[in-house]
Amino acid sequence: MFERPNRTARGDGGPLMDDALAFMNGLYGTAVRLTRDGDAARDLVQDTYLKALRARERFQPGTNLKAWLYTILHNTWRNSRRDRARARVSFDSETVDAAVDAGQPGVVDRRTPETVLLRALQDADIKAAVDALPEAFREAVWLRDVEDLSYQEIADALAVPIGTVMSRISRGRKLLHSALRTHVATPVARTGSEGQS
Amino acid sequence: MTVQFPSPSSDCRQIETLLPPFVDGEATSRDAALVEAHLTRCAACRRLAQEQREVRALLTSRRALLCEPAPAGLESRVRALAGAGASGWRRLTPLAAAAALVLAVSGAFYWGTGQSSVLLAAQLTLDHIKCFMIDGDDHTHPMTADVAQVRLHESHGLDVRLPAPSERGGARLVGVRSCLYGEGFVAHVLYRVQGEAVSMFVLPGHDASAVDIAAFGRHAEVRSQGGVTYVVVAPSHLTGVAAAVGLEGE
Repeated sequence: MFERPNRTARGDGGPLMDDALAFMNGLYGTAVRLTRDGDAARDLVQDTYLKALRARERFQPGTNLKAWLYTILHNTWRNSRRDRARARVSFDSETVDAAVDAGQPGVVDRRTPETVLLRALQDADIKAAVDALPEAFREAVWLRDVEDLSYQEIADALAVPIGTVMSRISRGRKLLHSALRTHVATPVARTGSEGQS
Repeated sequence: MTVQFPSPSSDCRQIETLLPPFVDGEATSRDAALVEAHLTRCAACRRLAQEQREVRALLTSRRALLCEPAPAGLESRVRALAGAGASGWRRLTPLAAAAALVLAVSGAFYWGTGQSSVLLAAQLTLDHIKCFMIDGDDHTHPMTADVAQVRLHESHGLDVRLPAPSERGGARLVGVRSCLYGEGFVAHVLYRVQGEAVSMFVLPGHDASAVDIAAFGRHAEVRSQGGVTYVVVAPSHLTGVAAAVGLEGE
């Protein structure tokens, strides 16, 4: 009665499935940045594909499959949190808007060869700085600069006007720059000079 | 003399929004001209533009390293969930797709619809098998019940009380997930009891009658207490599992 369904071998899922699975790494990477948790990211990606499966008839062949999947990912994430985190999300966004407008005292006047310094950052430092961004900015910057979605694709995925996308990316990059510059400006131990005179 | 430039606040605010597509080389010619004209006379916005270039250059150059690859097994898990025999995703009719999903995720959408405890136990047994078959190797590091509760809360938004597993019973709590049952509101707690894979599903507010069933080489026990239903699934030959994972009365 409750037999396990036959497992399909690779390629048995149909062309749309194969095409969709080609975006799994990008979807998972984005899910990790959204959830900040590997298990939750895995569940989010899995749910995204299941919802894509159920909604497949609404997908128009020849249109942008990648953007469609990111839209589902974003909606699934938002819906999963809607009841338990709505207040925090809106508060988060408004507060940070104000914080960005107010500037970042203590770091704006430090002029250093930044491009060189930023290059010295470790990937883990960058991920941590991205993860520390408020969600609205984190998602927009990530989709643009890492996942390489166009402004219009991001606007569609997040269901916001394109001007809002531009504003979020601008503010997100600004916050990220401040965070990374603060990180690289932190004094580090110097070595190699001892014994020289 | 004092009105040589437009109001810096409103002008800079508009330019700040236009900066991302400008530094990405994707601004319209009209917007690009607007930004360029502004940058020639505004040092603050020139600095902002430079910061935007630096952040974008940094992120785009590290794309491959920043984006964690999907864990091994996730693709096969999705394929297993999406696949229905040999029919394939694309060729499924809506009805067949719905039936396939119900089978594939073992009745994920049945929870809360008044099904019998026997059916519930059978479905959760299948989910237990699926989880451990597909990515059981991930669940090898023990944690306390307190840590598991925090993880369920922080990562899955689930507030459940978990009993402490019994060391004497040889039980180790090794993982937590939100199960697909009940649209993700069911906690799935994974244990190793005497080295064997054991699951406990926690269904808050679900009132099921006590039942023990044997299916697919596993033994499933359904227990309700305090308005919460626990379903424990273990290999048939293991005994005393409910007590081992810390459930009372066993």
